[in-house]
Amino acid sequence: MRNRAHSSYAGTRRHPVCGFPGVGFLLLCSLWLAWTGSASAQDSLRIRILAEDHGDPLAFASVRATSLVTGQAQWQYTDSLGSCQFRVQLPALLEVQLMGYSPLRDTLHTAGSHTLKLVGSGLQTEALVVTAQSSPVPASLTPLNIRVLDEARIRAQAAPNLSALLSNELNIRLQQDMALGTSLSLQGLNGQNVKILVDGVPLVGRMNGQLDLTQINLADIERVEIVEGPMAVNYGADALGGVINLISKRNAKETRVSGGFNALYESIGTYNADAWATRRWGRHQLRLSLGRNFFDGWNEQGRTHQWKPREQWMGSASYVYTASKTRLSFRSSLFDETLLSRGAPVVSPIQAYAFDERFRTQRQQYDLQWQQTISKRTSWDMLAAASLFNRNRYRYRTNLVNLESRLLDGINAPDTNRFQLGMSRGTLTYRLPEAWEVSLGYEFTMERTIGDRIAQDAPGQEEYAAYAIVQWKPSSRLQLRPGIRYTYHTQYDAPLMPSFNAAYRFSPKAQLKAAWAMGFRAPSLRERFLYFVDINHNIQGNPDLLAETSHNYQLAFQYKHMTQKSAYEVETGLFFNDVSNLITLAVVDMPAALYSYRNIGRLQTAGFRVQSKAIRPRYSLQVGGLLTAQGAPDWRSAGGDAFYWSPELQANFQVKLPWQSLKLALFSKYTGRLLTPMVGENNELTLQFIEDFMTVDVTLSRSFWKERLTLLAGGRNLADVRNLRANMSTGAHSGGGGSIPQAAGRMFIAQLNLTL
Amino acid sequence: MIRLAHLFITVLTLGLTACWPAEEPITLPSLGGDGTGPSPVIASVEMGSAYDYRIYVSLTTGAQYRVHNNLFDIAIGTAELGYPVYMNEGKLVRGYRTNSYTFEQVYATPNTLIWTPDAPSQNPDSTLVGNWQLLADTEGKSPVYLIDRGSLYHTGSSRYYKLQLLGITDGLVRLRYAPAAQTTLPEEMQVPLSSTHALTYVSFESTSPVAVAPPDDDWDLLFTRHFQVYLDQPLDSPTRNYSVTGILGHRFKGVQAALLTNAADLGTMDKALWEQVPPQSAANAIGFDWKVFSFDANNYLIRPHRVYGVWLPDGKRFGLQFLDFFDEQGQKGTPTFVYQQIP
Repeated sequence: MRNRAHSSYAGTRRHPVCGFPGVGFLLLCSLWLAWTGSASAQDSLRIRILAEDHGDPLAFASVRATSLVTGQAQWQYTDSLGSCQFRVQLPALLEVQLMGYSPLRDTLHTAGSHTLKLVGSGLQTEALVVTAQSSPVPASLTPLNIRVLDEARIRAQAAPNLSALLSNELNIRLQQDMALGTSLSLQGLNGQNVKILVDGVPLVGRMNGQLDLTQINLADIERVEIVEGPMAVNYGADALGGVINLISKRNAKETRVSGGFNALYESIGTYNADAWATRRWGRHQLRLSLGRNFFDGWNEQGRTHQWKPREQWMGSASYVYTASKTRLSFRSSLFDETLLSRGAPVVSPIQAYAFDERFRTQRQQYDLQWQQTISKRTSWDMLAAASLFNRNRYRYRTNLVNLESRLLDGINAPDTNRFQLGMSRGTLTYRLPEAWEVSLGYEFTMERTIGDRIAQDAPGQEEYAAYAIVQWKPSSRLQLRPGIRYTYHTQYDAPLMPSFNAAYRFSPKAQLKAAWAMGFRAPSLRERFLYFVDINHNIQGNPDLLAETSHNYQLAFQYKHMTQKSAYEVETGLFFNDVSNLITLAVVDMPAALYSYRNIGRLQTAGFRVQSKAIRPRYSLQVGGLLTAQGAPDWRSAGGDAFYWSPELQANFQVKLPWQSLKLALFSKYTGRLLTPMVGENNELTLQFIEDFMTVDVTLSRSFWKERLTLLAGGRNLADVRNLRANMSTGAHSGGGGSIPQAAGRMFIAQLNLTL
Repeated sequence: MIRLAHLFITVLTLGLTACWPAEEPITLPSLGGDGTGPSPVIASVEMGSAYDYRIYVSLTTGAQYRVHNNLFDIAIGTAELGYPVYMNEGKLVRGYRTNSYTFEQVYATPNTLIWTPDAPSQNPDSTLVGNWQLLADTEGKSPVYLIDRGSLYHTGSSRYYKLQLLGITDGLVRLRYAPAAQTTLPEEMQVPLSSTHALTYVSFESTSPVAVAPPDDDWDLLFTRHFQVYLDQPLDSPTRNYSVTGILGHRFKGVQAALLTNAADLGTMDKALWEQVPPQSAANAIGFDWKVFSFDANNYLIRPHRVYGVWLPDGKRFGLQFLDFFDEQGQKGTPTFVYQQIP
């Protein structure tokens, strides 16, 4: 079978792959290596790997079989039943490795079935990822570049929301807007190009193109998966920079009723509390959660706060039905936030008042997931979801003498932004013996935006897409993953989106990942139909906008070495994005000061990163560095540099102290000075900058009562970063400033986690 | 277990009951002063949230006269002033002086033109047309001026006009104007200058002068939108000529003004400042910066403790302080101010 796979691959190597010579070259090299690495088959071995403590089969264990006669070696990963097969001349040395378990070596002298048991090493096991996968798989075994921030990390950092969690992640920059919240950029591309999903469902409610990360609570989130680079084939538009997929907690581990309670206090005025309960009976699992986040504002200036007070309520209910071949899951989640923006007081001998604003944001998401194993080789995975977002602004005139508030009308009457999304995505996956996996999928998305500044006749947008992804393993060393997506969009011409990923394993320890993908960002309804004309503004949308398109190239080398009690990992990588048809707000009529959106120019971003991780039973250390760059032909023609570089450094350290079973965690990141050129009307170049800054969080935690109760204390933002010096222009309808807010100041945090 | 329950209840109570603290009511400050002289007067003018109206205010009588900004395009000064021509700052009219003296040969308004507004000081040498006679040809005609009437009330071909002053005959100012693209010669218009107004107002929509301002004796300050010219910005920069809303003094009848202090209120300021601060004759001596746009508050804020002095030609002096810029519905464009005659 292996030889057939090789000869089949040999037949295809004469053809260029997607016109991209780098990938073709990689393919040829991989083929040669795969071919030369093959072994002649002799005796059949059927290996099954189980966990010694609970006896469950262990998937994704690396099993290497080396013939002691010929010296030839081959390896495979165990499947979901913990099984794999070899044909090797006996006797053979078998070496088994799996993160979280001590490595096992054994010499087999007889053919047939063998069951081996792995002993837990005390190391954390490698997280499985589901983003853009047909089934859960360890991140290191997919050709995609996926980072996982698991529940342990979320707890150790005491991160209440996505903003806090991502604050010291490499290749991610956060920006603050005091009314619209925290937004991000990934791979040098702003948040409009980063798709944020909850269980695969896109979050809606982009205000000014950005999602507020502080509204994405982590109390009910099991892990966060970050995929860098375009994911258009799987997830369609708006994923030029990458995808952040939040995986919710749905499973109930206990057969009885179990529950828990979490509380977080931050000295800047945060009081968060949430509780959850689960129940499992037979094939049914139920989970309920309810939480409240309260922030009473920070950096008070009179009655106003730079960081606005906010109160959030969130709740969710999920139900899972699991049968031998079927898994049905339904989850609904609700979110309600009130943000209070108190205005500056106007005090005179005749009156004292202030204009206050309340922003009320409500999110609802309902999703139904259906996973069906149709046959041994075929499975079906479907998702249907609806997502609603409302944001209302209420403006009051508060009499500061008698403290009565009156809702304003006229041009200050309450306004509404409403986003509605209905979508369904389904994937049929067919696994051919050993080497092939073919996924055929569809996606339907219906999106509508209603708002006071959106033209009344703005139509909804519908998208119908079909995609195909092939995962092919010509050998145990090489994994290829081409994909393509065709999209019909009711409002504009969506481009055909191909992608190609490849991973080549030099050994079980070392692998090279390469990727090329196209991505696109659909013009938003705001960019197409905004009508914001008053005395201070003349901004009008452009219905004729084209989609932004991009080419993304990535290359990464990973080396992982595991011993009985430790694991070391080094990863280095490059990326390059080339975005065309960049949608830019531009002056289109200078005398009328009319701004509109145009497809102008290109933007290129590039980066080089090195990361290293060491894991021992008592500690883990992760250090890394990144250089990102932005460049554009317009900047160069105006005399600017080819690229403007900005560094990032990261160091995370977690250790179990011998004293009192305390756990110490340190998370730190240095974010370098960011330069962004602007080209003026007369081709003159001006440089905007944001100064560098450092974030440091330290937590100390201890568990009690058989790990059911965990208390944590620590400090966040120990470098006391507040406002950054900057000379940023903030758009057509507002001015620039000498500084921009980055973080609330240094704070003490305390957290309690209780599981009953 | 009981301790755990206590902990649970305490944290739960704290987490679920935290709330925003109640505010303390404010006691209004007094107007201050020593009680001598005329009482302070509090007044508001309604320019509209889009600043569509210009308000003429008399400090002596307290009278207000409110007219729409779109009533006129240009204004012509009296013989005593030298027949200067001003463009309507209230609707952001700008102009461009061509090198041609032949009216019908000017008919294009290319996008590359750099339009120039009148300076808010209203000094004739800082205005585009201003003392047009200095550039008159041998026949007494001015160059042809292209006029951008602004995008606020005009679109398409009605926005761009051309203007030429033809001379002065028997106290009548002769001029002609037409849409910029017109290639035929329009009829000449003769404008009789007012005897009660320093400026006579002309609309391109009319063939005779239009009534705009009250008589000169009846107003001292004009609340209006106007351009603020930032000379440090490039000529073609969108921020060189910045639209602001403020106060222009009636400089044509000799009203002068100055900022007396930015650190005290009208009732408590040092009276000696009246003798120490020299009055200015520029029309925008008060100007617009008694308020500021706060990006933190995302709104206009009155700059506190700024008292302006206003000197009238009859010798009266008034102290002036701004209190507010919003109406009851929170709409901007309604300045509220307190003023007091100084003995």
